[in-house]
Amino acid sequence: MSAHAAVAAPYENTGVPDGKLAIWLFLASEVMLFGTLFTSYIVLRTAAASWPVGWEVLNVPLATLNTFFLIASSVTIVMAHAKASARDKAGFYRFMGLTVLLSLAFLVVKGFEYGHKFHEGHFPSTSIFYAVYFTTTGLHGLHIIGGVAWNLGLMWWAGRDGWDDRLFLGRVEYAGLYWHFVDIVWIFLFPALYLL
Amino acid sequence: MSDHADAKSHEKLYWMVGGALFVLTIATVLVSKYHIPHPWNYVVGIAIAVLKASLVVSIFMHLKWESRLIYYVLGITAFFAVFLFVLPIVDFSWTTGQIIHRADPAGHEAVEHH
Repeated sequence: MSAHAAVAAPYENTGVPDGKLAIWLFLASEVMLFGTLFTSYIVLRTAAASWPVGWEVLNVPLATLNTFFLIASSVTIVMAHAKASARDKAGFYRFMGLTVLLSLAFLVVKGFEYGHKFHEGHFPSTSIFYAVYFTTTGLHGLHIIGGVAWNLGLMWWAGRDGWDDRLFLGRVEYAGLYWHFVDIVWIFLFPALYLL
Repeated sequence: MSDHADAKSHEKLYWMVGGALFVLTIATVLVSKYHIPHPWNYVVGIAIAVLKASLVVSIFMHLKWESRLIYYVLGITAFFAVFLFVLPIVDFSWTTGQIIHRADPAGHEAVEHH
């Protein structure tokens, strides 16, 4: 790419920023990944002679608390983006910091749930129900960990030279898009595993 | 975010959507607690989840104000996702009644033939 081209259209070739298109394409692949797991869940559940009632084998109040944590974190990360847009650095730190704290709270509660299950002798190999439960919530948990790392990285970058970088606002938005997707996955996992 | 959506002006909307998501979460838990007859429990539970996801996608992910290209990407994704769901489930439905596994491996007959 020539220097002129790099200046004229460095980050946008399709009418939307390249980074935004890339993150949406990535999320499209994630839809297929989790879609595969949901399809497997439907087939395995339909094929099962019996299926445990989520209320009786899982901790619904804790999962509801975790749902509140994730919803709150979706609000705080979109607020972090709004504050970054308004060039309010303290506001960005406040809301992104809250997002990370809420994410860690989700992981702590999920870790408590896992620990309780292991203590009771329930593992992925225990039954197809627990195989589905640990696979779906485990993969979702890994996405939470990835999001925490991403968001902490943005806070670290903002404290150095990132705040004034032309890519900063976009990267905050892309982190938010990813995080909201992780929230949506939980919105479907929660009733599928715990309530229905 | 597109030019049409000024993040600052939408802060109040974000809080309102967050509140709606909290209320819908409580609703889906309560609905499941008061055993609605099958299959309506599935219909109501999935409907609330779809409503919550729609709020997140349209407002938090700014799809409401997004450009057409992103809609194309999502449209193609949705098209193939339908196959992802429908094909295995239809395939299974053709064999249902013939093979049923047990979710509980304590049952020694892992596969039953009907």
